[in-house]
Amino acid sequence: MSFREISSWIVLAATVWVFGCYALALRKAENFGAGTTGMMLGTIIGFVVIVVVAHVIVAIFAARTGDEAADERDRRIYLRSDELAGYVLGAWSFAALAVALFKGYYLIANILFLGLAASEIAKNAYQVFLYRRSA
Amino acid sequence: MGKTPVTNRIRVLRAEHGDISQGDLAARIGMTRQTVAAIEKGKYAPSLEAAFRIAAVFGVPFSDVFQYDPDADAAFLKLQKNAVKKDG
Repeated sequence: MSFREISSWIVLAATVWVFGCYALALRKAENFGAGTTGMMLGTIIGFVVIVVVAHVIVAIFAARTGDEAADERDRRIYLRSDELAGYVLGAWSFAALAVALFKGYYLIANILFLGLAASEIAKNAYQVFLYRRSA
Repeated sequence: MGKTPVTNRIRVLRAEHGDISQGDLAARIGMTRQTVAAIEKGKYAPSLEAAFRIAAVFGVPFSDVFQYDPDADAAFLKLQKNAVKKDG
C-alpha cells in the first residue's frame, strides 16, 4: 500500500471517529443546533492532531513509502474523489440554505447563496481558462 | 478504476531486461510502484507520456509494450454502432 493510500485511510478513520463523536454529542443533546464555537474548535484541533500524529507514526515505520511523490494515477484519484466531495458539499449547502430560509436566518442564507454562486463562477472561469489554454 | 482495453507486456519485458523490479521501473518513469502494478494488471491506462517513457526504459517501440483491443473497448464499440446508425 502506498503512503498516499495509507494517508487516505488515516484521514477517513479520523474523520469518521472525530466528527462521528461530534455528531453523537449533538444527538445526545437532542438538539442539532447545540454546540459551541469552543466545541467545534476542539473537534478541529483534535482531528488535526490525530491525523498529524498518525502520519508521523506511519512515516517512521514505513520510511521507504513516505518518499513517493504523487504521480498521475494519484492525481486522477484525487480529481475523481474531489468531484464526489464537491457533490456532497453542494447538496449539503443547499440543505443548509433551505434550513436557513425556513428559519429566517437570512444572513446565513445569503452567505450560502452567494457562496454557491461564487463556486460556480470560479469553476466556470477556470474551465474557460483551461479550454482557452487547450489543457 | 476498472479494466482498460489496453493490454501490455510490461511484466515480460521486466523479466527480459534483467528482472527489473516494479519499484525500479517506477523510479525510472517517475511513478509509484503501486501505479506500475496497476498498469501491469490492466487496471489503469497510463498517459501517453508515461506509456512512451515505459517503452523508452526497455528501449523498444511503443507497440511492443502496449496493445489495444477495440473489441474489448465497450465505449468505442458503442460509438461505432451509433456512427453506423447515423450514416443510415
